[in-house]
Amino acid sequence: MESSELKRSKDSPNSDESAGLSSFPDEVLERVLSLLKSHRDRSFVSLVCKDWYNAERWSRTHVFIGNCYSVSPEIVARRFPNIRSVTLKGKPRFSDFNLVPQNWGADIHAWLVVFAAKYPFLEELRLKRMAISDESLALLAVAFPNFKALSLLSCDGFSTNGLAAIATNCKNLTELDIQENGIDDKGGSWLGCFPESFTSLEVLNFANLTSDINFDALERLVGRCKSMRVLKLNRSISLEQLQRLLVNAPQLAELGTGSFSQELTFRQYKELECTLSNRKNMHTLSGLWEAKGIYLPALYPACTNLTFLNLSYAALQSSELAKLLAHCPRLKRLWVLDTVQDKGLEAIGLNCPLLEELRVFPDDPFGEEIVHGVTEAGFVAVSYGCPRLHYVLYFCQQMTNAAVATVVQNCPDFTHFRLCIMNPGQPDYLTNEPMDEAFGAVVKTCTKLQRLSVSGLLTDLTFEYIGRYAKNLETLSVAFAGSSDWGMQCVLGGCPKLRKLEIRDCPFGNAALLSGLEKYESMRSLWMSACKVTMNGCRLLAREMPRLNVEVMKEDGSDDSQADKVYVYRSIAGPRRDAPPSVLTL
Amino acid sequence: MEGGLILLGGGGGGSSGVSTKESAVSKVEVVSEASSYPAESELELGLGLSLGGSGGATGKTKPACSSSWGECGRILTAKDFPSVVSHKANNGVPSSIAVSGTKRAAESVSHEGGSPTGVGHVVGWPPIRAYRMNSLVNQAKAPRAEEDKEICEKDKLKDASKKKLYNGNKISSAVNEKGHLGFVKVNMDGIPIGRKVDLNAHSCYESLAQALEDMFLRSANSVGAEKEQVTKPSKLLDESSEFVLTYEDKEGDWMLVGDVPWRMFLSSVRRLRIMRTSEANGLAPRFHESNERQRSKPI
Repeated sequence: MESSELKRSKDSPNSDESAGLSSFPDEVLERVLSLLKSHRDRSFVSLVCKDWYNAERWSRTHVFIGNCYSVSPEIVARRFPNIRSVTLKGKPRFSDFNLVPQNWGADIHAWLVVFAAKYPFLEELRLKRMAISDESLALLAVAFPNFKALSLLSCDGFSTNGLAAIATNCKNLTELDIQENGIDDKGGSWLGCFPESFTSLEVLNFANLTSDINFDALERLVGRCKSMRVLKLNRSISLEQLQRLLVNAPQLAELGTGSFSQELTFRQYKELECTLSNRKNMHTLSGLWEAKGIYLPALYPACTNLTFLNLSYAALQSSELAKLLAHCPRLKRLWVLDTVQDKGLEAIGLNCPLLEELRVFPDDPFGEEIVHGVTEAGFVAVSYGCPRLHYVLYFCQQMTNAAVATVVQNCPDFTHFRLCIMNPGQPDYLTNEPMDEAFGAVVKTCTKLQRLSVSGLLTDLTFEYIGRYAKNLETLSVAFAGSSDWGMQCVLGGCPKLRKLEIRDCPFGNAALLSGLEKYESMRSLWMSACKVTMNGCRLLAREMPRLNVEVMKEDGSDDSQADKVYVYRSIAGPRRDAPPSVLTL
Repeated sequence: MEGGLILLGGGGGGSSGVSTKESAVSKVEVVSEASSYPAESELELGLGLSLGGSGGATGKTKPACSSSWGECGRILTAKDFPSVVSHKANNGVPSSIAVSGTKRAAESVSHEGGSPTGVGHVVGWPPIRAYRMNSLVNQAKAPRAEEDKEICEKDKLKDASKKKLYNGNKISSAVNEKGHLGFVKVNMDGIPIGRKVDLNAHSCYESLAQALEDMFLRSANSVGAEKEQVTKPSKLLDESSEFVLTYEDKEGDWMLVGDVPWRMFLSSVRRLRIMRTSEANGLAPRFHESNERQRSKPI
């Protein structure tokens, strides 16, 4: 530990004289602290005293940066000299829904340049909502000889050429996880760029690429990577091809199939069934695009130890789901499409007593029929059967206050409650009242609630409840809700642990915005779009709080005094310099 | 040549339409294809592109006639989007036009075409990530889905939500690797109800054009009657026809039908649009040339 010796001589000549805690030799302190993984624990540790601050910064190997603009790469490199793994998040979450201009920023390149100089031994990079170009990927591929793991989630700006550069050059790669990105898919030949001598891959996820993959290259790759434990294929892979791959990867713990609907002969089906029946150690299953009900039984034996089943691409009917779930007794996380309807949700309640997370996605979000998908009845049915439920994401066309109250009574341990009534501003469809009492029940009953997304017709009362009861709330998403500034003021005045607040299309204006002046410094970020905030309000905020970056995104043709989209975040790096012209930094 | 749709390359795509006054949309608003309304309508819909480097070549979104939800604006075309052409296939720059609808004005209820209120007419709502939207609409839908719901707006919205803002997924619905039937949507300007045509049932452009004429122009009489702006069928089939046939390719670009060999066309076409020639003004001279070239080329 050369570096720590150096540091000891420079930074802590008086360590022996400090009382109590600091009388540990630094090596011991660092050793102990190196066992700390949680970055929050580490933050607390670094505040204890100078010695602990130093020991912590030298022993930290992983850094998590929730907002890439809150700090600069140079500052990070200066404080943490021994980083091996970086997690970075960029754009505001609403960029997932096309609310952020394309060229907004969050480009990884400046970071990579600094990392290449300061962290030549970087091993892992996990990015979410960052902009990455092929040049950046090419730089990444050659600048870090020990590079092992790349995970890209919701990023954009690159193409499969960039992936080819990674495949070609990263000799020690163990993980390549390309999820849900805005990737320019130029074809599947990048897979063939892994050299024949390359055998280290353990995690490969290209499920959301659309083009055909070079299957021979994939087959050979899977064949020679004996440690592969996660393989998530894209839709272009047929059942037959899946079969061939599985034969070569007996130890897979997580499988994402390709398309599950090829016409199979009886023999082929039996072969597949046989191969899958040996997969007792599989704990995660996903993919299943276009899943044909008649082939699902092939999966049954493989589901014995399944804890996470992602059916959100398989438009199953309720009966198909019910039969499948009967074979998944250990399920903890389940994602489905609402084609399974309330009957399917009842089946979940009956078959999955250990369920902790349920996500129900709409199959046809813009459909016209009113009664479509799942309703409050299904939600309630699940809650009766799954008392351990603590994470829910539920898209529905109708909901009632009473149903939500019942759900949280049955499942009081919710930590993440995201309810999306798809028609904006829709009231309780039975009583025609606002949905205030529903979310009131949620925050009153679920004391551990960390994340809440509200929807439906909501008055300020909802936000009064939230401000008053949601003591552990960290993330709040609000859309088409509220009656006046008072609502937002309640939230900003309550919710002591609030970190992220994202609001769209609500009648909150300057008074609300400015009521949170001090609060914003303890938060990661605030987003407000299509509200009633004006440029003057934003300017005032910027003036009063110099340590906040206040950015306004203007839209063409809008009134000059209106602040269409506002993004406020704390930063020790000062205002950013890479904002496009449509983004004004105040 | 008598009859026949003119195969013409088009620019600017368009998808489902909701007119807007206030725009919460930074990138894309929606142009209604149900419009059979005069080009000089006061309410102009914009197709805003948010391309790398600039706010994009946005059309104007004038908060004009707040009451005229019934009217549509003119359809913007290639000449309104110079950057579409120049920014194609750049790394990190989307070449497709993504549309997810526009913010509904508070009191607005309906819009042209009489399509559903609520969901689907607001940018980024319901909050479903783009990749998931694409995946959903890529899947073969159950029979209940497509055929009985082919109201223009809804289709357009679905198509719209399909397109990613980022470098999009390439969706090949005509010919996919499983050899499924190559039904693609066809929409014609001025007609709110779209159709579907099986491309695999044709072996050449001529035959396709014929089928489309049968589909749209024969039956246009009844539909066109209410909308005075729709040209009477008899005029449509002229050589200097009012309509041209364009298609959207895998990359999300709107292209001339007829430039490439038939099989290549099959592998890249996603859907078709019978577009008004008047909208393709800037391309007129080229159009005539290539038109003749294509016609005389054996396929």
